[in-house]
Amino acid sequence: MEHIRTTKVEQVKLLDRFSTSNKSLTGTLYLTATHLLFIDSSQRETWILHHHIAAVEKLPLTTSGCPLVIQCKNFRIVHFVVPRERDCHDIYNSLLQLSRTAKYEELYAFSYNPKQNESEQVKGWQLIDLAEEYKRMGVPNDYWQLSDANRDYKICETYPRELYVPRTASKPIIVGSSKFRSKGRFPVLSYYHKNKEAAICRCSQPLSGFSARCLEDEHMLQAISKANPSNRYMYVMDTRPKLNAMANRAAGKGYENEDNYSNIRFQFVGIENIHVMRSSLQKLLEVSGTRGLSVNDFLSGLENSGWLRHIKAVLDAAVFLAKAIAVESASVLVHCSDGWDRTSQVCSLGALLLDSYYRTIKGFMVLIEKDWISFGHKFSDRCCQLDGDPKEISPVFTQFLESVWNLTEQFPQAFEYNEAFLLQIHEHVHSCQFGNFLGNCQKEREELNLRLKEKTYSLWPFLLADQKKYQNPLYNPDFSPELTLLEPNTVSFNFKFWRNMYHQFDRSMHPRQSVFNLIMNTSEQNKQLEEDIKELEAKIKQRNGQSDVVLEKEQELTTHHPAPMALKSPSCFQKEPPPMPANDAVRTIEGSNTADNRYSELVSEFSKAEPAVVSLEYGVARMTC
Amino acid sequence: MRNLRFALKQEGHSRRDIFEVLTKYAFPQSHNLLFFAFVNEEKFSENGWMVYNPMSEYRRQGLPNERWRVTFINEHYGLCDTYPSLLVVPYNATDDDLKKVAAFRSRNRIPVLSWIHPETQAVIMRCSQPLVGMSGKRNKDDERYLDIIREANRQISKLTIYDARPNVNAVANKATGGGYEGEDAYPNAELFFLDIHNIHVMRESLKKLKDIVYPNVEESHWLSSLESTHWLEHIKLVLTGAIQVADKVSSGRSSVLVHCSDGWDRTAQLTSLAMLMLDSYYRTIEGFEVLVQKEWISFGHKFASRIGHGDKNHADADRSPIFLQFIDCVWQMSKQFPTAFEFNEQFLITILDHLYSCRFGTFLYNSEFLREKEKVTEKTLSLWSLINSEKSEYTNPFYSKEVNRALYPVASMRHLELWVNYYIRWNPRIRQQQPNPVEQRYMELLALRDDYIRRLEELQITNNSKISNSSASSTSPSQMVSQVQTHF
Repeated sequence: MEHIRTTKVEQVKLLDRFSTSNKSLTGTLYLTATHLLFIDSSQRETWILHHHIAAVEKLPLTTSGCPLVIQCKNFRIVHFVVPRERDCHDIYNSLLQLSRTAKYEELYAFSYNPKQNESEQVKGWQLIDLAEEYKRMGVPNDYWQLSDANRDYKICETYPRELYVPRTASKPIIVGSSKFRSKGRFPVLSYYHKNKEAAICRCSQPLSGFSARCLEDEHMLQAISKANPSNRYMYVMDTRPKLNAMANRAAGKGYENEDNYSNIRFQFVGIENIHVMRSSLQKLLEVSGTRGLSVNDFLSGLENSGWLRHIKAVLDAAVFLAKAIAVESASVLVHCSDGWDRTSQVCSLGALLLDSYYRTIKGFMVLIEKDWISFGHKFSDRCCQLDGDPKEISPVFTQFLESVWNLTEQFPQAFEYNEAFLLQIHEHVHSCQFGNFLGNCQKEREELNLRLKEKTYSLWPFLLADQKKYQNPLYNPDFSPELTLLEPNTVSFNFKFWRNMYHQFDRSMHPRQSVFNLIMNTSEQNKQLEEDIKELEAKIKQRNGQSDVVLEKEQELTTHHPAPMALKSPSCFQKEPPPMPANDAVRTIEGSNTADNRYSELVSEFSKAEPAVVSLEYGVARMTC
Repeated sequence: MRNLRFALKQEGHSRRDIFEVLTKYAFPQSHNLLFFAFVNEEKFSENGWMVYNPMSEYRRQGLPNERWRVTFINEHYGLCDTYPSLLVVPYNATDDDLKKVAAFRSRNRIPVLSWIHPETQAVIMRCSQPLVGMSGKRNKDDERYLDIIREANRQISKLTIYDARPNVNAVANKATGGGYEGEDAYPNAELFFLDIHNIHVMRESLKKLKDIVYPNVEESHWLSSLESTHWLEHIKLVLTGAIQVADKVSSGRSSVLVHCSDGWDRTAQLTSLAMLMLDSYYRTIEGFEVLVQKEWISFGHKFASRIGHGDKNHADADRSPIFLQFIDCVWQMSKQFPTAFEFNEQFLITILDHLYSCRFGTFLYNSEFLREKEKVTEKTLSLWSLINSEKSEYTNPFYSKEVNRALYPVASMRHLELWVNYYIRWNPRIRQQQPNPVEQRYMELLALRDDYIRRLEELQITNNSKISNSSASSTSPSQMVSQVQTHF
């Protein structure tokens, strides 16, 4: 690699950013083509993917060396002290180059090789089939049909090829409507609720300016409204604050005039734009990253960042949407400005509240593929996959995950997946290790000569293979049968700081016990017991079947079977937790699983048999306060 | 924290009668009536007054031993009327010494032992402030006594003194004859201030907290209003102080002396929390009852003055939610260590409910001396009777017993939370999922496990008999069964 000048630096210190006593680990820093690797004296490894690096900073020289601070998109912050300034400078420059990629082809996904053969790769990409998903929802049906209008991305470049529209919406209506909508993103079906026959539709803002009208667009909305036989009115949700929407009118855009559209109920819900969200997150990180945080600054800092208020706004909008469908059986059309940020948030969260399928592991993957990937949420721009405009970066998808996390906190038994699943997805949205999130829209993924599906891998089969890690032990499918509405309570104090997201790499911030693991262990024990029972039953059956066996065979059985049992039973009966996914296996030199390293660290920490006496070095009090 | 407002339907009917009756019975103390506890005729299967016996608690700690003795000098509360009758002091200090020390300590509350570390033999001592005053008085006996305490641990390093107050307050106390241990007078001691504020600050803080959750929860600026109450900040300081005490005793292997001004508010918080962190016994239901009974009730936390049982003067300057704060700290710990405590949230809430209710004699009066005078144990029931009679309601299903493990909670603002289930429980918008899904799931799993084990045993027996029927080589299965049983 031409950017790498120094590949190895010894005697580097890694500081704990929350320790006031300046505790540090000493070890060796390696720079590879894809990762930065730190191995400390006790052989513990810290892998940092270059794509995860958000910023590198060189601090003024100190007596112990040259400090280098690396901020990552997954909220890891590492603070190295390199003894020689020259080395530090080399690494700094290399990382600056390596973390900024100019072309898609240079992203990690194109070099990542998980040792899958071709057919597995193809199968992996076929795992999520959106046509199948629309069928599951119950479309096409008498009211909705698949439109081929956008088959060649002629009407809208940022939409997928397959779009579902009302049967009564003819091609001229679609074309006309798309011309009246920002970026051609005309109203299409996002989710269909088969019991209520109501639909969630999505689009971008109308190009109404102060007074412009478009008959086709009015027809389009009417068609959507008519496609719902159970209600004569429909909602139009503009997810922006009213002020922003009005300001957009000056630029020839704007919002629907209730007088021009028949039977619509128009509603603003006031979610702020990507720039506000970006600076809000920045403030949040400043607050949460301050070490030795003075007593009260945390709460006011948290509030001033506005972050939790924004999460609440997003969820409130989703609740409004879900209630309109479930309670009033009214169809809802959702838009913001371009219909790929806030609209994706609200549509997907609304569907999550309405349909328990999306609360399963597979269903959640489908939801992300549908409302985020296929409808053109600009992952590349928002997550800064390529070196681009910093004003396009925004944590819109992070907010979506955080909203889901808040729901999992309120409804612990409603979700099949756990926090680790959400964190892992967040990790890979930024890692550029899998092809799913590359690019800004489907057309881009197909064009560009990227041949994503041949050259890269899909994330989902890897998550599914590790399903066990991501299962919520509290999940109870009977808790919410198919189409039950979740009604979260969105009072302010229900929104908490997501410690495990923003401090997932700060080990001193983790509490040392978790009920979650206790439950996991117990359910593991139960599985073990179940197996033991089966084994014994089988044995007895076998014995009954051949009641007149010869003695030798009998002996062979008894010496053979009880042996593993005797090994197993202690593991379930003693307080020792059952074996958790071991973490040494995942450390390959490609570092295919940077995230796994972190996760398994956590797991192994929890699953370790707790010692009788925790011997904390003196001075721990200062550290934990 | 609930305000009720009744609307009377009958117009013109005088509300005066009701008002009078209500005030009379709500504030019995101000109307020369008895506390409800004295007329309460409930019956319970357990007798909560038997829970705490100071002698057996000290024995459990391995006391007295060759360095620490039990003294009966305060048997008739002659030495100190706010201390219990039974005290543990260094073996090398005579009763005469104690009397001399008492003269130099505010309200005669001399340094006595609260807890001893089973391995390091380091101790937690509690007392009140020394009467140094403006002139910087010294007392040779007190100085020697503190040195005896240090030597009792055969400790070479200095004795650590934690003054719970902010430095400024401690200095200000000199004006009223109090103060703190100066470096010159106590060369073998190190003094640290823990910056915990006094009862008045705490009272105001709780008042503000009440204002933001009642009658309506302040929604738009929830976090900053919460912050402006400083409630969590105080919780953090108390916890931080207790962590320091515990860490010093356990990891630093040094004896510590804790005091504030009179040694019955902040001192009780610190010693009891540190003991809770260090000694797993206090994390059981019975142990926690002992802890409250010992560190709070017997050592004269002024419950009557702080709560104002039956007193209509609710604006009294002596009121302060010190005990509530302690329970809040315990709750914060139980959130961080969900499997370490035998009791659940309901247990803590019940204690707080009856802290105010006067249904039980447990929290009545200011000191052991007064309780004995009023014959509380004979005439009233103990709260622990109620709790111990229905232990299962107060048991934490996740509890797994561990012995001698020190717990250090993270006292960072990122971990402390407002105890919504207590402070905002009357708000109709707070719906608690009942029963708690996590607990429920765990109980299901446990039941399932028991079921599996039973079936496994049955199968093993069948299997066993089959084997013994057909062959003589049946050794392991029978052992297996016994193994299964012993592990539970």
